[in-house]
Amino acid sequence: MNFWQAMSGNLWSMTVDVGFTLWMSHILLGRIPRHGRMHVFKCFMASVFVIVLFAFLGSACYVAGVFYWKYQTGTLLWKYFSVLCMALFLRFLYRAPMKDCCIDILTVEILYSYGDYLSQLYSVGIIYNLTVPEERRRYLFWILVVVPACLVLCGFVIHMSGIGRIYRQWIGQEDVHKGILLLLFSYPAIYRMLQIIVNGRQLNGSLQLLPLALLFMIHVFLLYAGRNWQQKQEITAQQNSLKQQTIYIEQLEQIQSELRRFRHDFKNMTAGMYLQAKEGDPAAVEAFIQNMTEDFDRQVGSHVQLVNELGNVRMMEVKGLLMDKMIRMKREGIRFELEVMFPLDTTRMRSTDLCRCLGILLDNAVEEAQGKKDGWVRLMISSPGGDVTVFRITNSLYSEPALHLLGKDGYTTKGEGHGTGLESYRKILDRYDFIFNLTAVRDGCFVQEFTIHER
Amino acid sequence: MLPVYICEDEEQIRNMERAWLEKQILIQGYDMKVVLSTGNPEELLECLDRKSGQGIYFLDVELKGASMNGFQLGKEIRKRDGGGFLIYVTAFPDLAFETFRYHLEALDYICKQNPERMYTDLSRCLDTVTERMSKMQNPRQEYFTLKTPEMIRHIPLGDILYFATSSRTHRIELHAKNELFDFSGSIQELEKDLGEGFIRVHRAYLVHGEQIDWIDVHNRELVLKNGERCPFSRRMRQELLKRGAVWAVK
Repeated sequence: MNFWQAMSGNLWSMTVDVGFTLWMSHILLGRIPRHGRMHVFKCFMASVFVIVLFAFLGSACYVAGVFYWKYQTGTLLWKYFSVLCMALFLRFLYRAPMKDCCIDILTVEILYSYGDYLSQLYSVGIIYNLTVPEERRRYLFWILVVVPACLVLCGFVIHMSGIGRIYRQWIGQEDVHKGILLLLFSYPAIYRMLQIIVNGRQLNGSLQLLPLALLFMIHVFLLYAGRNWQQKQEITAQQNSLKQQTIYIEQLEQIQSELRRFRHDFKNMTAGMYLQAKEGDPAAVEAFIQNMTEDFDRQVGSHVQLVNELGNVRMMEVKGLLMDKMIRMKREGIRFELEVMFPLDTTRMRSTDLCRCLGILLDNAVEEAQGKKDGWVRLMISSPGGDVTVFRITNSLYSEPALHLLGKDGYTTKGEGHGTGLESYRKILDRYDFIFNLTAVRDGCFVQEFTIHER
Repeated sequence: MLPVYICEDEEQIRNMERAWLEKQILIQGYDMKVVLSTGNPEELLECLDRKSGQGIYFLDVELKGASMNGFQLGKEIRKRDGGGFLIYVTAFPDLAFETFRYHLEALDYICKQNPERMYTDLSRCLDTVTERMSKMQNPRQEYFTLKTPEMIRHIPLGDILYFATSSRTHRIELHAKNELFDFSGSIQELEKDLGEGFIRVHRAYLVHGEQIDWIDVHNRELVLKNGERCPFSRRMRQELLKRGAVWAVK
């Protein structure tokens, strides 16, 4: 086969490859690439570029004999090179962290193997002689119809299995299982090694039973690890839920006891008002109504409000974090105001990173306000329409921070041993292209804010 | 003359607001007029569609029985009047003002539970609007405006120290006297838009000329008035030294 024949074949197979990768990435990452007409055009052009580039390089490598290097080293190098390039391609499309893109591509690689094996059932043990017209027709039918059809079938099963949700939960955890990562990254190498062991270098067209067994083993291992992890998650979620319920009940009991106190005061005040009304003193009656409503707001209203706002936080991890911080602030005598006007169900940011960022900012705000008279912290979470989610932490300020130094190595306003929180916060945000940060001093208050662009 | 609009579902409160505002406008001689007082947000929007321009809006948050709430109404008003003054009047003092301020640039939040306090707060709002209007009419006070679908930010140019590119693509960091934030943009476009007051001292830095304190030639850095330092390129060295008459050179 000459270069151009290889190129034309590669163009088609790369189109199928890229199409499958995009589809699977969409399932695994659970979202479509960034919005905007311009970006759609750029995505399309990038896809075309990747297809042409790989078809060209693949053909060049083929003609140069790279794929016939000893022990399939050429094929293996090509595989890792294509994984790296495809990860970069995904990064461009989704603006996701590079590590996530690499894991995604390697997972797609495994999923692709299923479709690939399925398609090979059509041509078990056949080595096509492309010079024979009949065999060439069969080969073309296999490449043009059978392989894409098997991939579509495989993709459809993956889509229906709900694997994407499990994958996203798994990838969203703090420490992705190191063994699984290693397995994923070494998968292409192990796969080639087994090919060599079983069939030597002449593999084309044969059913590779051992690699297929490996694929199943990997799958079983991933399923086992996934289920194990899911169980751990469920236990943690149940523990969190129990803790939250306890705190919630405490809040309700507090509201109840305040209501009881208010009812007592209210009875006394009403008796007084009755006398004032009888004596024809409207100013006193007016003052009474004012005092009563203010007392209600102070004694009961603020607690009811806090519980209501917390009800709008539907991400359990965030709710758990907020409850922890609320307990701490109550203990420290710091007033905490929470504003969650629109329900917070989900965000594009990993929940572990979100909790870390929120935790760092809230801890800093608490440290600034603790021990001070009338110290307060306010948290606003807002996601109107679902386009953006804003987290804004404001606190009373008693020092003068140098804004430009905040988050820089070792800078702190709190003395030795501090200053690492904001540095970590910056590093986490740096991993996300769709999160914007603000630090400000406004009206004597310190404001820290990050905005997540959800689309 | 600034038109004043009131949208409040409780008729009694609405009338109280209107009477008080009209009285204050008359007594203080403000250049304002209450042009509409309604319980129907659609009517307010129709009025704005007929007559565009900056206005003051006193809006109820809840708006019972109406097609939209105060937040949605605020969003619609912002589409028609980006520079208007939104003031929310509510019975719930703990309601989400921070959210209103962030998304709608609401000016204030008044509690209507206590009429005496409500009157004081209404008067204070009119004072604040007048003060802001006079500041805006001051030709020396210019703003850098950043507008995204979810919020608008106005930063006085005088407060800006410099812009710097970030390690993330198409990301600019704005360093101002009291705030630091990042946004999507390109430093080339900013350089073009902001004009001569800002100098591209480095591939990654666009510095506000007024904020330069002195030039540290030895370390090839500009020292700003707040002590921050920005590097400058070799190419800019001569250019900056030419301007050295304005800034001290060490």
